Amino acid sequence: MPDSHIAIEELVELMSTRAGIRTDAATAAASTFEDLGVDSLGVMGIVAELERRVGRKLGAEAEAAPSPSALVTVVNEGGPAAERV
Amino acid sequence: MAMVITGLGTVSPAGVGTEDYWTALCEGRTLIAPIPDFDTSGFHVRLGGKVPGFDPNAHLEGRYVVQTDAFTWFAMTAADEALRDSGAAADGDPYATGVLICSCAGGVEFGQREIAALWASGPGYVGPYQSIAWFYAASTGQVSIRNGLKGMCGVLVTDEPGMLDALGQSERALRRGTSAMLVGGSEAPIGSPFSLACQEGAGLLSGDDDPRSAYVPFTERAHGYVPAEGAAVAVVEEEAAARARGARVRAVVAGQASTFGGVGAFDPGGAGLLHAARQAMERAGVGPEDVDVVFADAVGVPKADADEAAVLRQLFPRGVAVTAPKTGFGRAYAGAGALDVAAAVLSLEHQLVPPTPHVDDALLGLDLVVRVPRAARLRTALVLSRGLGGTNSAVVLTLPEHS
Amino acid sequence: MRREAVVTGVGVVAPGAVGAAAFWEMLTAGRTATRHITLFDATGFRSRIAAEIDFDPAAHGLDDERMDRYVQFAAVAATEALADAEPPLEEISPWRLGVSMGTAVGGTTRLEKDYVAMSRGGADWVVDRSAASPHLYRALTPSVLSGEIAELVGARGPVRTVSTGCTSGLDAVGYAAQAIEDDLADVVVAGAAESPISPIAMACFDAIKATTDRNDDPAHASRPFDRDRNGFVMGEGAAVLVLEEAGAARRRGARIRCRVAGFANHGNAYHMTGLRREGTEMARAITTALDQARRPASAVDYVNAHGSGTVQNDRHETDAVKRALGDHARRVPMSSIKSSVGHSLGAIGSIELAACVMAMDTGVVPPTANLSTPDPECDLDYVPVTAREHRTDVVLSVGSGFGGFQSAVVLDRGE
Repeated sequence: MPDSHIAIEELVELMSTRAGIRTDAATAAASTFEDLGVDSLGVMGIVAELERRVGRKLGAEAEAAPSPSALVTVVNEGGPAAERV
Repeated sequence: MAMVITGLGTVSPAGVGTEDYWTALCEGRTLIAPIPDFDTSGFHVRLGGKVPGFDPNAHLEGRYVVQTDAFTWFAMTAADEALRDSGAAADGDPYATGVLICSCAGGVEFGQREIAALWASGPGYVGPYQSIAWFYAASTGQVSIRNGLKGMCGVLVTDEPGMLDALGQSERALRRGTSAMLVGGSEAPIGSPFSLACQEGAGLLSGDDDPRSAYVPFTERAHGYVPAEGAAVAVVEEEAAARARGARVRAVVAGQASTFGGVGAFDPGGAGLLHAARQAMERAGVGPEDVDVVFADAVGVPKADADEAAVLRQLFPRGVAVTAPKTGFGRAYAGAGALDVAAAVLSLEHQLVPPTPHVDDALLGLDLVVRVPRAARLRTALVLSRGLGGTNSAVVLTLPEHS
Repeated sequence: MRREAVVTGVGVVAPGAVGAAAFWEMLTAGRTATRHITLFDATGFRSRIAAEIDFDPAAHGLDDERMDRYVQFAAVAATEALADAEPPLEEISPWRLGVSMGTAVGGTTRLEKDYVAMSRGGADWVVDRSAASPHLYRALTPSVLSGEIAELVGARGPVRTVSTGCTSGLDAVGYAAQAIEDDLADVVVAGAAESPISPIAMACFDAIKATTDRNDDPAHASRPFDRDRNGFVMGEGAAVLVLEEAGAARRRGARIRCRVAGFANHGNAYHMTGLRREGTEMARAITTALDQARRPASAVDYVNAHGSGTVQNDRHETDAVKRALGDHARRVPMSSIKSSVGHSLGAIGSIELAACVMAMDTGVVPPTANLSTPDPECDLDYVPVTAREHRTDVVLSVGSGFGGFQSAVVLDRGE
């Protein structure tokens, strides 16, 4: 059973491997994806990887998340868009 | 209209940068080595010309590294050098400068990883960058984006002659209002087993394991070519505008022409290459006596070599210095013509013809420059290129007036 | 005397219609050729619909082994275009005969098929080359596309494949016209071809959700400018135009269909897939192309839209056309044939130019099929659902592609 929660540190790692953007947890928590230089395709790649890790679809809401913190919230609080794979 | 080269950048098996490229050419260095990236024992070709120790993170921002294939890394890196070299202002009108960087294989290594993910794991495993990394237009697009260049942007796929054709197309663009073009060719075809397997089908690659004898065009021992990776990019602009902004004019692109010689062979009989060369010389306003050096296509396939030699004998009945520095590092497809153009510019600047490494017994009646570079008074160089898809191209480069 | 390029022949291989006449009948009838994918098993894919061609290479006498599907389409379209134009090939020096063909992804379908065989279904990184088909090397580089067409017509002049993603089909024709204008050739066979309906191509657009997932309603899935659209429908096909130097075409009494009056392309220098809403770069391409044609914005009678049916594109393009044409944008009909034939990537620009030529020929503009409720942000006259009788003398066709490419072509009846 995959862990259905993520922490901001995981996003820091994924931003590096999936989008080529290096940052730290504090900066990530206080910035938007745009500030960090992560573009829409980068976010899509991160969300696709998160979906595999948490074992469920995160939907359009996750891809539209403007910041790492917002994305963490979408993943951890589920929400109507989240459905079982 | 006179079109001139004001900037040059290369990434080659001699490394990153034009200075190292030129030094290696003059030394006739052997840059062919076993392909290091994977087990090649099941392949007919096992040697290649690899850009040594290329670390994309040393040259590019991380986001470009993850979203592009090596052929685009090379293009972006060479473009950086060319732009720096040209001294063009980075804050000028974005529409003034266009980009035209050719490839004939695209991002195959990136593509192989993504197709593997698809077939091994499923459609959800293909990443978002596949849609922009593999296709032939990736390098022009990324160079345009990374440098804020909005002028005429294009991509030609004409195999090895890509850069030569791009120079011709740049003239079309300059005539129609673009002020400068970043033109080149870039290829990374040996990092992926799949890419190598695709190339092998044509039956033209050398199966030799000795870097010194694997790629020896114009000789009795010729038995194919060694593939290589690399890129060259040039900044071209209209001469008066370049001089007005005080740019260093490195060479004049005096004439270019392309012809077609048939799919799947290198212009059998050579009539197409001959016609392209004659047209390019006519457009440049030069006769055979004016040409001081020819950078030959030099495929290394006996029939194609014989055809090219016959073309050269016909064009230059009184002989001409011929060289093919690519025998030192291999044939980099769209990078090949581009690296030859770069070599020709450097040759004119240094008044020195680099040798044809590993070839010292050229038959076919050519005055091939071998072993050591030849000092000569060089005012005009002719670059020839052919592709398996059938394109033949020729470019005449001349030394600028002030030199 | 300025040299100009005119169109004297058209050939089309499109979903739902092989041949220019059938293609035009389908478009003007408002029919769509989008359906569930049959070319491979699309189970598990997000988007499982496409505009496919029912195509039998043997019926056209084509070698299915040597020629990839996209090259086959091009060969059939070129044969039709040449029969239509009847250029005096025997009187033209082959050195003055050129070919300019566009494609975005070339031989990808064959590359993938062979890769699967060579890698045991993606399992082996180091592939077994002995499992490759004998013509695999032809799939690696799409220079073979223009080469095969050159063989077909006997061209020995400038022959090139243009690969600027989804603007390839406009750029290939634009480059061809330039080659004639600049005295490099007298006749150029120009067009584009694509056959991208393969697992890897569908998967890569799935990954960025650029294609629609309206899988339960394929016939109405391609809905450019409609409020309910949610992505493009993949297509395939080819179109070829015969371009000739205007003076020579007139002298031989050719039926001149139109002039290629202007062409420009720009990079947006912004993003490989993203578009800035304002559409400045596409607007600039339109303005440059109109300037070359020496036509004011108000002269444009019809705009053939890129109209892919992604929210981003439709709004970007609407704003770009408004920016370039000003108030005239609200008066000029503008439609997207991708609603009928899908988006065949590099090929579609040439297929759209073929539609433009036929609009000029017939005095009819094709509709945007499936446009029942316009996106409120898209407020131009998109010719919804039904074709319209409308005399057209100056046509603008625009395209937008991954890589940031923005292209515009102007066709007119000459000066």
